[in-house]
Amino acid sequence: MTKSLAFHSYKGGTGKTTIAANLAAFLATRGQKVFLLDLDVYAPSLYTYFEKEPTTWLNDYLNIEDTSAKEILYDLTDLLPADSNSDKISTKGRLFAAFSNPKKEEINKLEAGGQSSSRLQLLRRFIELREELMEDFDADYVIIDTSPGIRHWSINSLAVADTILLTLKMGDLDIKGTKKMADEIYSSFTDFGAKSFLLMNRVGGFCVPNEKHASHALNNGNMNSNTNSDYFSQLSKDVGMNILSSIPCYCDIQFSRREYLTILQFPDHPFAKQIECLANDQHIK
Amino acid sequence: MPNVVQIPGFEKSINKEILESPLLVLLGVAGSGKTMYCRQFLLEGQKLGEYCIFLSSEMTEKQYLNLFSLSSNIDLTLFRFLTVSSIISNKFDRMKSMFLEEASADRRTKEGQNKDDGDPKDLLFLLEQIQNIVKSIAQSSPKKKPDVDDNTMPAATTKRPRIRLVFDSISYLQQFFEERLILKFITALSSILRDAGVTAMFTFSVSPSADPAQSNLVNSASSMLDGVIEMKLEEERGSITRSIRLLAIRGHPNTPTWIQFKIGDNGLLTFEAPFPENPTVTCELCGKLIKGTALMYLDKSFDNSTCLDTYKKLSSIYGTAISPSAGLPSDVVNLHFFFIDIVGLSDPSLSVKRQMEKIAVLNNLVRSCSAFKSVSKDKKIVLPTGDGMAIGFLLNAELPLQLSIQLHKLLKSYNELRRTEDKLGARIGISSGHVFIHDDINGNQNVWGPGIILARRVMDLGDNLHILLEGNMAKGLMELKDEYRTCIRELRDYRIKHGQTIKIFSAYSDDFGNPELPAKLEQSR
Repeated sequence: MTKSLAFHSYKGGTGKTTIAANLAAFLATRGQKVFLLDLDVYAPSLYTYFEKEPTTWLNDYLNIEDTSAKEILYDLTDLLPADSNSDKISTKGRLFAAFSNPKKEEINKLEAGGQSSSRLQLLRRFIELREELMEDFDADYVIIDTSPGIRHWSINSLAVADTILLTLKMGDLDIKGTKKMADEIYSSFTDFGAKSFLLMNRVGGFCVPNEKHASHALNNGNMNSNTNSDYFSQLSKDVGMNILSSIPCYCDIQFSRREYLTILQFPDHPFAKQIECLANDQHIK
Repeated sequence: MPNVVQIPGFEKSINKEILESPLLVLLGVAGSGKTMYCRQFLLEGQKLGEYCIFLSSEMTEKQYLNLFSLSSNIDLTLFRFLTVSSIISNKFDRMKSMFLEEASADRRTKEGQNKDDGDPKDLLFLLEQIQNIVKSIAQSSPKKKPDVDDNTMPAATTKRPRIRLVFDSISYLQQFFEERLILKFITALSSILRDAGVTAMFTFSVSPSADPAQSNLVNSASSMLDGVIEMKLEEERGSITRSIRLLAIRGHPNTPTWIQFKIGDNGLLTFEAPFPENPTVTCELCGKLIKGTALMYLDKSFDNSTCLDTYKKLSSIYGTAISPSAGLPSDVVNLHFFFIDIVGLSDPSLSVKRQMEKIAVLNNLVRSCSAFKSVSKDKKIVLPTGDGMAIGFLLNAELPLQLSIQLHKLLKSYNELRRTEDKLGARIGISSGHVFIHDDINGNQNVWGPGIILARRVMDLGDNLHILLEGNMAKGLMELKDEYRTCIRELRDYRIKHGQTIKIFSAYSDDFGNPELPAKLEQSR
């Protein structure tokens, strides 16, 4: 049965695209058939992680009736390690992605010129895509990188997901907004079967991934200091969601000049281990 | 000629399989085609040799003749026409003279009366007129169905003439009579019609926005009669679509199914297609043709449980207006809501007219508040809710509270000199949050979303004169100005629907608000 995960956040810059892309790649290395969809339609960036210059886009599928999923999906399986001594790595997995077009006119098209019936047509195409991936492509995972906040396409993306991961980083504004958004929106999804979790990212205190901290991360899974732990408990209670994972801030990733998939390029990086922990969580695997 | 029985389910009901002479309610918004459908209903009857009675609320005889003269094949000897408005209006002219003659009578006594209330005798007079027409037809010979020999005539027609009647529309009577009088009239009329074996159609004009007073009448009338036919009018990009369906028929299971129709230049209705044996149903969400058994939710069909669940999630946020015609809302905004309703408006002892007066008073009072007047139309959205209204302010979070305070001061002076039953009570809920803005079928802006839902839930907790605020909104205001700190008090947490807990605050002072703990909060202790 296909699992459909959506990564969402109150505001941008929480790292949801990074986590979504890395998780997708990791699951594929574990033999899963994974489809990664860029629904951050207002500010897409997923394609930068794969060093691709797409010529067809998710937008084409949504806007043009006879476009097939095959035409807009990029097979990224060749990025996965072809061979490995590790028994964890499997080449049976497949990784596909559909990218969102960053051109202004294409973003406007997805707003359907304010025409409410056209918006429904676009939503129907999106639902059709999900069904095609589930039924015709036999997907194990559909992972959706959504737009932050409460916007039309973030709502649509969350509505088609069965698990929602609300990503946030430490910061009062982010947390306050997340609480408000959780109060306002999330019950509409969880009341009808969706599960939602908090995903803490760029947690402070581990800026320099030196040996000491890295080993702490490896041993602990969730690398919470006592202070963070209390804070997270309170946050979880306030927002009404469990924290699925809390990933430290890694400067080498945060301040890298280009986006890359840590899980593939540096599989021993503590961040990669965090992704592995996330993938092994009972709500994800 | 196209046939009225093409409404799915209607054929059986009118073909004696269910009811020999059904009395039906025909509902629809203005312009949905009710009168033209009734016209066709009568023309079909005429074609079968039946007598036709057309009771029009407003049409003159000339207009009636024009309406039916569109059909080249009409036998007007089978038709009887009565203008309801002339009966009632003439009576009112006489009443007006009487009032003028009695101008010196005690003003106070007259003000205590509902001057515009219709005289029940008018309805009795109307009833007698209809009864006389029906009787006169019953005493005449049954007409032969044109071009049909006697052997094929239904047995019933050889005994007494068959009659069809249209009353277009019952809603017109609401301008003059209280609901209970109209219902008594319908009861008496249906008794006359059943005795004479008349097949009848009673039309009701309904408002596109829910109007509880109106729907009460429709609901009560529907329960007295044998079935309900519903019509709808949808407009998109200048193109109009009309549809009709049999909503319910007494004693017969029925799956309401819309069928589109057009009104031709000759006034005839042409239906989209003959209703197939196995109707094709598409999924409300994905739009796909449903091959197996459809999953039903409300009156909508879904292809599978995933579509149904997704629809539920989306409609929980966007509202149930998601449909191929209404589409999805366009914009999302954060609004500061003032939600008010009139306390005790649904009291059954209160006439519809009094209810409407109270709503009008509330509207006028709100309009006269500077917190409302000073905000331009593009910075606020006003949504009538039937027994009150919701106002969403776009920019200034203080406005809902300021409006509440100003309104309470006006209410205080309004109620001061009035009798208890005339006093206007109201409760107010204030909150802010996101809503999606969409245009309804009339092109009016409407909103749906967590912001307005929360304001409604907060208001629902209140009693008369309570101004209740949701916690985050209240805290924000208290941080803003000292004057709010002195009048806004925290009450307690309250668990609302879906297990969500919200903090409730109340705004009050000597001039406004209600210092008592709301009964619902008291009970939940």
